Amino acid sequence: MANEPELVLTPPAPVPAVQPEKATGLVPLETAQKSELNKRVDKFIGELLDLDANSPEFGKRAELLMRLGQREIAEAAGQSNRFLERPVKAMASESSVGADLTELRRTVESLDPGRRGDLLAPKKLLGIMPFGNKLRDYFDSYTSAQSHISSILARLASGKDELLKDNAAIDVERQALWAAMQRLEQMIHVSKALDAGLEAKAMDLESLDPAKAKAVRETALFYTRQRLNDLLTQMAVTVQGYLALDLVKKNNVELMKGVERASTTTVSALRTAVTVAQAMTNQRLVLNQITALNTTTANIIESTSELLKKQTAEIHKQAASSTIPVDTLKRAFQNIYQTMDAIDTFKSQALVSMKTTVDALSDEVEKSRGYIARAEGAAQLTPGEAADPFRLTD
Amino acid sequence: MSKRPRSELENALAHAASASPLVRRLSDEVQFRYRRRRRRRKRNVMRFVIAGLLMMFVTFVVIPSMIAAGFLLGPRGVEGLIAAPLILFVCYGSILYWAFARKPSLPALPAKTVSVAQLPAQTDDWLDQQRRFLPFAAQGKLDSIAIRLEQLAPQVQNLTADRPGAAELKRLLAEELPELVRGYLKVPRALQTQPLHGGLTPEKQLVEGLGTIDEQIGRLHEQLAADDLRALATHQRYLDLKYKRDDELK
Repeated sequence: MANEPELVLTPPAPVPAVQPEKATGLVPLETAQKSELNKRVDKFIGELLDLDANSPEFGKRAELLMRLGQREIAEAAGQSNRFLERPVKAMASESSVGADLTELRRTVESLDPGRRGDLLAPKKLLGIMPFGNKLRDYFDSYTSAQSHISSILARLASGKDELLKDNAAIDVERQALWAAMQRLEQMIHVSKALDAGLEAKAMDLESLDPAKAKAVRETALFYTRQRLNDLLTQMAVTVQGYLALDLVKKNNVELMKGVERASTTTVSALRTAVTVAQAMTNQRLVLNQITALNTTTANIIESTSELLKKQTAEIHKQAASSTIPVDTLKRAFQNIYQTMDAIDTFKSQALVSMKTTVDALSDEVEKSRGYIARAEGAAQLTPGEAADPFRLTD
Repeated sequence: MSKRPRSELENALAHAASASPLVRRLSDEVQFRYRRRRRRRKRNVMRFVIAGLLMMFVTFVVIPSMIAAGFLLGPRGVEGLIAAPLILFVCYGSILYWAFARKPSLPALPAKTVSVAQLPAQTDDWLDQQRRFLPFAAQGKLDSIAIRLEQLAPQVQNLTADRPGAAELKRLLAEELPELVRGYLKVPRALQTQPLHGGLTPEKQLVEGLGTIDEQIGRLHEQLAADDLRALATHQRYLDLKYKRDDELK
């Protein structure tokens, strides 16, 4: 136990706000995709410029740009609610695991041999007459506490399962977000290519056909730039959400480690007590429920079984050889406290970084909603129209 | 009644469908046509049965009641002899007319008040009745929409109005789709194939509109299934994380 590595739980750093101009390029596009998109952009610009700038077709084509990436934005925005919910929910679920840990601590404290005074001193009735055995009474208190402890440990195990489920959900969500970011990135690539292409064409047209150049600038180019802005904003929020989800996941992993270790140290302290009781008072301490928990929970709680196997032999050796076996027991309790303190520190630090992340994220989501509302408004001006010409795959 | 076991052909189809989305679509279409034909046939058979039952009922009511009338009100002689078959034939005629010759009245538009759960089935019925007034070019799209509506029906069984996508689905199926079809039907027949201002013909507009709606139904379907899909994916991942030891969790 003494050689057990000390538990260090590191809270991940908070996720800062992602600036729109830095959001792009995080999700790489394949070269083949890029060249395919460029081809489509060139085709679109060519077709647009073949049209008479005053014809309704020109207007229609240019308006297509107004809805550029509309679906991608809506899709990514639809997920922003969900990734904002996640960290908030995580903070709440931590508190439920926290309650179980506090209860465990309270129960463990009541069994702590360090708080029972000198267990080896003879017990005296009214301080005078020798009566009974303190040590025996002490070990008896385990029997009454064991069902309580085993139920807390079972709750912790299911709390750990909840955290695991949370992480599974985050994995799935991140996968969806990644796909959404890839589509956004494609659209950003398209708008940038359109921006550059249209600008160059408008430049060329300046002397030949100034009216057309003006039309291109005021409609097509204007819409494109507006959309590029929207896309970048949405991308920034999505990237930030993606990173925030990672933060929640890492937090959960750390917390699971803590819960696991708390269970392990508790079970190991109880086993030590069994051994010490045997050695000191020849009392057979029967902690059936805890032992049953060992065999069932040990399979669930990772590393518990290995650790316990290693320790049991050690405890036996220590308890038998050490002159004061109670010290061994006290050390076992110290291990529990250390673990719980580590979890507490971790939780308070993690909460701060989670709150910072949530605040930054909700600010950005709020900002992006303004853009979305505008994009939706634009969409309603021109309902039901041909599919997006730049969309690679559906 | 137990579910009919799959035939070998159906097994082969299902196997092929899992291999390619095109084959799956084709297999869906084949099954859809089969189901639709069966449904129509069933409807016809039902009409026969109902007409037969009604005629039998009429026979057993008219003849005894004529006889009873003879007893109660006194014999009617030749008058009665002519009247009895006459009444019988008039009844038979009207029953047969009701069952077969009468044009079924057009069902009402999918109502905006109907629950979302019944909407796909209702829209499907309505569209099926409109079919014969719509051009040949639109039939493929109508088939496709009908297939989607059929697939959508179980998905929306438990959909309440407050769930996201419910309002959207309602607007699409109860307002936007009927409006497109009615808009086309309002156009005089002679003008249906005339291009409007040198643009698309109304017929083409209908086909394009149906195509857009078809795609949108598909998208909504996916959206509605998203929660279930996500739940399944999450659970699979959870099992992975929990029981597969050599995971990134370690």
